[in-house]
Amino acid sequence: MAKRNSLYIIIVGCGRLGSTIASNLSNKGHSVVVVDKVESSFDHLTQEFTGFSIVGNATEIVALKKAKIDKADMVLALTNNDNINYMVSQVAKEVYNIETVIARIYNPDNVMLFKQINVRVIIPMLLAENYFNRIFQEIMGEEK
Amino acid sequence: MAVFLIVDDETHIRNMLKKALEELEYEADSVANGEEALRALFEKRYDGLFTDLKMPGMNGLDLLKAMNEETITIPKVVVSVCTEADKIIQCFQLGIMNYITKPFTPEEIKAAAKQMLKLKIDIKETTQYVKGLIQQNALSSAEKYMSKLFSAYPSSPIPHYLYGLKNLKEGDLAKSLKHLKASLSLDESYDPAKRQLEEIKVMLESKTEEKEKKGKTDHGEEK
Repeated sequence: MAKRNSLYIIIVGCGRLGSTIASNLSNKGHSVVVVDKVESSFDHLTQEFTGFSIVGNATEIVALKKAKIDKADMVLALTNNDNINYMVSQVAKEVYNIETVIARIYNPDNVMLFKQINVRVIIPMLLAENYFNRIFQEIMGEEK
Repeated sequence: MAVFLIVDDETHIRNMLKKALEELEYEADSVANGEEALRALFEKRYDGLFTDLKMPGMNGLDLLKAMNEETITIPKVVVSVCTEADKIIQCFQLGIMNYITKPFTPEEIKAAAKQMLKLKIDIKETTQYVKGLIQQNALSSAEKYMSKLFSAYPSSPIPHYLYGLKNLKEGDLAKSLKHLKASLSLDESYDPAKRQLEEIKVMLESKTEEKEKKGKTDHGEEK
């Protein structure tokens, strides 16, 4: 992707993770649009958030069109549902050819599905497991 | 360096617009409503204006109307969350160059700014220049400038007036009358179009009189 000062980023899902990332990216000067079907989810956004919020179901194309997905540089699928994240990722990748699509996955068994459509993934369970192993090894090392 | 005026009541939208324009090394001043915008427009010359519609105090539509009344003819772009067809049509009737819906991308703003600069031409200077071209019968060159004027100032009576002059030069009275009337429908107090229309009427009347005279004479000769 050509380096630009500010990107147009769509985040689907405004839970704790989505809202934190949205605030961070908008603070860095990017144009951020957050889509969530529950309006109260936007309460998670910090006061520093300077992007747009759209109430809508991201599995419906209307909501994604409203967010101008065709113009997005990056799409982040961060809901707490792997199926929704997959649908959003698939539409972003295969219909709109978005270069960078990142999804959160709860079930590690779904990783291959996402990788097949060239979506980068974040798996909280594996991250936690790796981190736990690292701490465990440190402790064991200290005990030796 | 090009300077734009941003009108939006939300600080973060103003900042986002400003940032996009600054990435192109343009300058941008920003204000929160229509009244502040008008004050800024009287004080400083801008190359273009981005305005929201829904704002406390004077809203975007009223600002566009006021700019037309004050004949502030810089290119204008609306940036709004509103997607109602009626509102959008009304904005175009008030002479905007483009309508961008929120959420917007920085690229949309940059493209609109570039388009505004491309279209921005001094209406008074261009009008004089085009009139000269028409007098010299350089009609195709005149037409190029006239279509530019049309794009930049769709609600101004001047482009129609110039088309009226061009048609007159071509001898197409009917078309000329149509454009002059269109010019006056945009601004009924536009004197050059009024005067031209009167001249054509006089011309048509004298032609009719001549025809009638000729008819009578021919009739007399036949007798």
